[in-house]
Formats: sequence, C-alpha cells, structure tokens
Amino acid sequence: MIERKKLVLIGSGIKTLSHLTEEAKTYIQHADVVLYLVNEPILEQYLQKQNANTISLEPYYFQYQNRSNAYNKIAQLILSQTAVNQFVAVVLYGHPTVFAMPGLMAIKQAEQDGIETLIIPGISAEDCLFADLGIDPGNPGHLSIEATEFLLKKRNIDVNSHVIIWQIAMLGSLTHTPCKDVSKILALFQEKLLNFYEPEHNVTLYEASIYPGMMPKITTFSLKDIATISFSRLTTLYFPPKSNAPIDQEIYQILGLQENRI
Amino acid sequence: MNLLKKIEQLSQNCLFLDNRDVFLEGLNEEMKTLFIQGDQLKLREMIATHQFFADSIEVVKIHD
Repeated sequence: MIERKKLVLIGSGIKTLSHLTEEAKTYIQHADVVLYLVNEPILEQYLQKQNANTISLEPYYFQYQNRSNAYNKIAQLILSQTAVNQFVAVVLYGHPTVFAMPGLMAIKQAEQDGIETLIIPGISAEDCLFADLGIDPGNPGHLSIEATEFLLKKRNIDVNSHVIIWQIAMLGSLTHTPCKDVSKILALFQEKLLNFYEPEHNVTLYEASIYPGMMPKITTFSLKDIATISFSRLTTLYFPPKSNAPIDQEIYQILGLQENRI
Repeated sequence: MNLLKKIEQLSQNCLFLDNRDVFLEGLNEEMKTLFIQGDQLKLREMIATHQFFADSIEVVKIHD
C-alpha cells in the first residue's frame, strides 16, 4: 500500500515561542521538510534547530513586487515540495489561515491532488487583541476586515459590533510597500468610516506583543484624528460598538421572550 | 548571549510587571531598554540580519 502524502499547515502564534503549541512542535520535528514564512528571526532559528531540513519562503515573498503574485508563487513552491517529500510542514506566523493566503491556497490544491492535509491552528493577532483589550467577540458580535478590502469595495460596517480592521499600514497597496501618498489614502479611509461613526468615536491602535515579556502597544484616539496617526506594519485598528442593536419587537413577541423576563 | 535561549527562557516563565526585569538579565542594555520600552519593531530589526519582514500575507482580491 502506498502511503498518502501529507501536507500540514501550522500556525506558530504571534508571541515568539510562547504561542507555539506542543501539537505544532511535534509536526515540525517529524516532517521531512519544514517550509516557513515567519516575521521574526528568533522563531526562524528555533525552527532550524527543530528540523534539519528547513526552507525559508521569505526570498519568494520578496521576489515579486505584487503581493498576489508572491503568494501564488509561495503556494506553488509548497506544492512542489509535496512532489518530492512524503511529509511537508509549512509554518506561518499567527494562525495559518487567518489573514494568510498562501497556506490555504496550497492546502486546497493539495486536497484536489489527493494529498492528506491538516491545519494546526495558532494564536492570531485578533486572538491577542481580544485578550489584551478584554473583548468578547461573541458579545455583541464582531466584524474583521482587511483595510484595503473595506476602502476599495462597497462594504458595510455593523456599528453595533466590535470592528477590527487589519493591515492599515498597507492601506491601498497591493505591493510590499505602503502607498506613497498615505495622507490622501487615509483621508479617503476616514471619509468612508465617517459614514458609519461620529468623528469623536474612539479608535484603538493595537499591536500584539511578538516577544514574551513585552507589552502590547495600545493607543486610543478619535476617528477625526486618524490621518495624523502613524501605523506600523503590525498595527490593527479596533472600533468599539457604537451602540446596542435595537431589539426587533415583532420577533421578541413571537418568541414570547417578554414572558420569560425575571 | 544566545538570544534563542533567552527567548525560550522568557517563554517558559510566568512574567509579570514586578518580576519581568529579573528575567531580562543577560540581555545587553540596549535590548533590555527596548524590552522595557516595548519597542518590539526596533528589537526585531536589531536581532535580524535584514530590515524587511513578511508582515502581511493577505491581499485584496481584485479579480476572481
């Protein structure tokens, strides 16, 4: 019997080594080859120590100016390794399918090719944000969206939810470098947000800690000041709910919930 | 000092505001200061041999 090939996509978490699970370590140690795209050099050293056969995907990441092309190339490279190895592991930082395109692209193609696939979750920047800001995304719900996706497309925001906007530093850019005219793009972004929020609405700039022992970066400002704020590539924006969503009285009556009030 | 070992040590201890500095012993003064200031981007640049990092691996789909 021929054993099916394996492709395992692994999330390393955000905080270097601290977030790496026992499950993730086991797969990293036993893979025939470990491909990785991480944004922190100590984690890279650690991976090289855990497995003698590692390949950094970073050169391919920067080989193409257009990010979409880079991610396609990375997905192709992952698949090409499954052709010559029985058990391929791919490590991406954070959660490997949360705001991380190339791993999932490779997994989906591998499944079509008959390869056994597995995804090992990791702690995402959003998970860190929930913890550091003391937020329950289930109460009253949340929306998570990429900044350029929100700006470029006709998208709505549910202001009764927690709203998280990712990759603000790359707003309007499809390449590896931020837009040159950042203030102009931020003004457009602000204008769109003002369709949903008051100028005084609080916005929190959040940067999860990537090193154990280091505090996260948390700064709150008003939406009207957003164009004056500088963002790092790790910055995520958080908008608290504007108000409680009104109850649909018709549904409330149909469900008989008024009778259950204590 | 071996930074990998130091980060491993930090990740294996319960760190709080009142004991963190003890665990930072062994780092050079500049790194220790960056830790205390929370300047992780500068620390990362100091540790790395390059200045560019794969910080975004998601991009808007313009076409299907």
